[in-house]
This record gives sequence, structure tokens and C-alpha cells, in this order.
Amino acid sequence: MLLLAISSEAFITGMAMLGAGVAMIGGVGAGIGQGYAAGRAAEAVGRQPEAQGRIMSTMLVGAAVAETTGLYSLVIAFILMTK
Amino acid sequence: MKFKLFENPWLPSIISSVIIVSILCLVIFILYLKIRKLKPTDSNKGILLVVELIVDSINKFAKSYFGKYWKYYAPYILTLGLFLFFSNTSGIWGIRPPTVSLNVTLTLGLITFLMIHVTGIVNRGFFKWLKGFAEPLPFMLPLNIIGELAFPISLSLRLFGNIFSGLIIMTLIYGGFEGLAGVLGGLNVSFLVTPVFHAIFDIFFGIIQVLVFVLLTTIFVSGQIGDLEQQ
Repeated sequence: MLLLAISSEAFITGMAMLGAGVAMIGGVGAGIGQGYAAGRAAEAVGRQPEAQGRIMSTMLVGAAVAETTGLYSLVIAFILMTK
Repeated sequence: MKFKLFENPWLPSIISSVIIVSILCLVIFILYLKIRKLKPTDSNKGILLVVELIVDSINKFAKSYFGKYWKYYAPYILTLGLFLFFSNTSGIWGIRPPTVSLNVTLTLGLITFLMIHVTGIVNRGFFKWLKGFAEPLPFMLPLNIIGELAFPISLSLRLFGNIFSGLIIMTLIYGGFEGLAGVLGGLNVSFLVTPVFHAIFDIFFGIIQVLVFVLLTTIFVSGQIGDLEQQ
């Protein structure tokens, strides 16, 4: 039997790697949030081209804040990978 | 690859942060000696003009957020911005960026956290600051406390995660080209592709993270001042 040949350390490592992969699903939310912010910023620039500088900096801050949840899942994935 | 959130204190990020801080101190001391000799009527040229422009724009930025209290905060903003700028972009000079360690970023986050609450206590008084946690409704108290404690953690993890993921991708690219060099007979062609990735991960993301860290610090600290002016 192949299943019986797997040691418990290897099983733990494999499951931790699987957990790291599952944790990175959180990246989806960050992608959606950043895309939404960028799309709205493009609309705003289309409406008011003269305010491009302010819209740009607001968008970058908003996108960075939206990115935070994705980065949490990245950190958790890295912690799991060293288990 | 071994990964730890908190590195051993004598690992490269602390050493590289000491290198960056000492080089910055030396350059700024030389600039100070040059600026001390100037007269107010002189028109500046070269590096002094650049320094004047940077300091002036930071002062304007601080004035727009802090009002009449700008003099207390402008030096910290410029210091933070300079340190973060040179440490985030230090990957292009072959130094390991200090901000890939949570030791450094959590320290900066805690400084911001202390600044927010010390500003709140000094500006609004201790009891009014304490009452601010029970607003708008008293049962929001635990939620507000958790939110306040999460702020430095999210601020530092954001900076750390961005710079650290950039470092990992750069390491993977360099490792891949080393593997390719074995196939090509010792010819390492990484110099064709890596400048683009350095420009993206070190310079572009690095500068955006400086902007975000400084802006969030400024906005949250000035939030504690804005309450005073409205009353």
C-alpha cells in the first residue's frame, strides 16, 4: 500500500503546502479590489482630466490598502510553507 | 528557503539598515555644513537646489495636513520618507533591503501608532481621548480597541509583504537563470531580463510603498488634530 509508506512528517509537510495553496485564494479579493479602484480612477480621469495628479495618488493609496488582505494570505502561506 | 517573520537580529537586514542610516547621516551632515555657509539672499544651484525643493515640498505637504502644528511633524515625515525610499530601492545596489524583515517595519508601525495616540492625548486631553474609544456607541468599545491595535500591524505587514514578495520573485528569477546557465554552458543571460524586473519590483513598488506609508501615517496622525479644530 502506498498510503502506509508515507511518514507522518511527509504528510504534515504535504498538508501544510496544500494549506499554503488554499491560503493564496485570498489573492482574488485583492485583485478584484485593485481592479475596481483602477477602473473607477480611469472613469474619474475621463470626467476630470485636469485632476489627474490627485486622482492618481488617491488611487495608489486605495489600491495599496486593498492589497493588504492579499498580503496577509501571502504571509500565512509563507508561514505554512516552513512547517 | 527558510522563512521567519522575525529574523535573528544580526542577520543582513539589520546590518543593511545600519549601512543605509550611516550613509544618509554622513550625506546629510555634509549638506548641513554646506547649507550653514549660505546667506538668505543666495540663489542655490545643483544639489542644494534639489535639497531645498524636497524640504519645501515636504513642508507644504505637512502644512496642508497639520495646519499650524506642521513644524512638529514635517521632520519626521521627511526622515521616514528618506529612510523608506533608500531602503526599499536598495535592492538595485545589491544591498538586501532592510524592509524585508518584520523587525524593521513593525518598529516603524509602532512609532506611527505611538505618534497617533500621543498626539491624541496631547491635543484632546487624556479623558477625551479615552472617551473617543466609546464612540459613536459605548458597546463599540472592543471593536474600536481591536481596530486601533490592528492599524500598526496592517501598516507594517503591508510594507513587509510588498518588499518581501518582490525579493522572493527576484531570487526566483536569478535562480532560474543560474539553472539556465548550466544548460547554455556557463553563459548567464540574466542581464537581458532582470533590469526590467528590478525597475518594477525595487523602484516602482518601492516608491509606491513609501508614498502609502507616509500618506497613511500623515492621514491618521492629522485625524487626531482635526478633531480639535472642529470643536
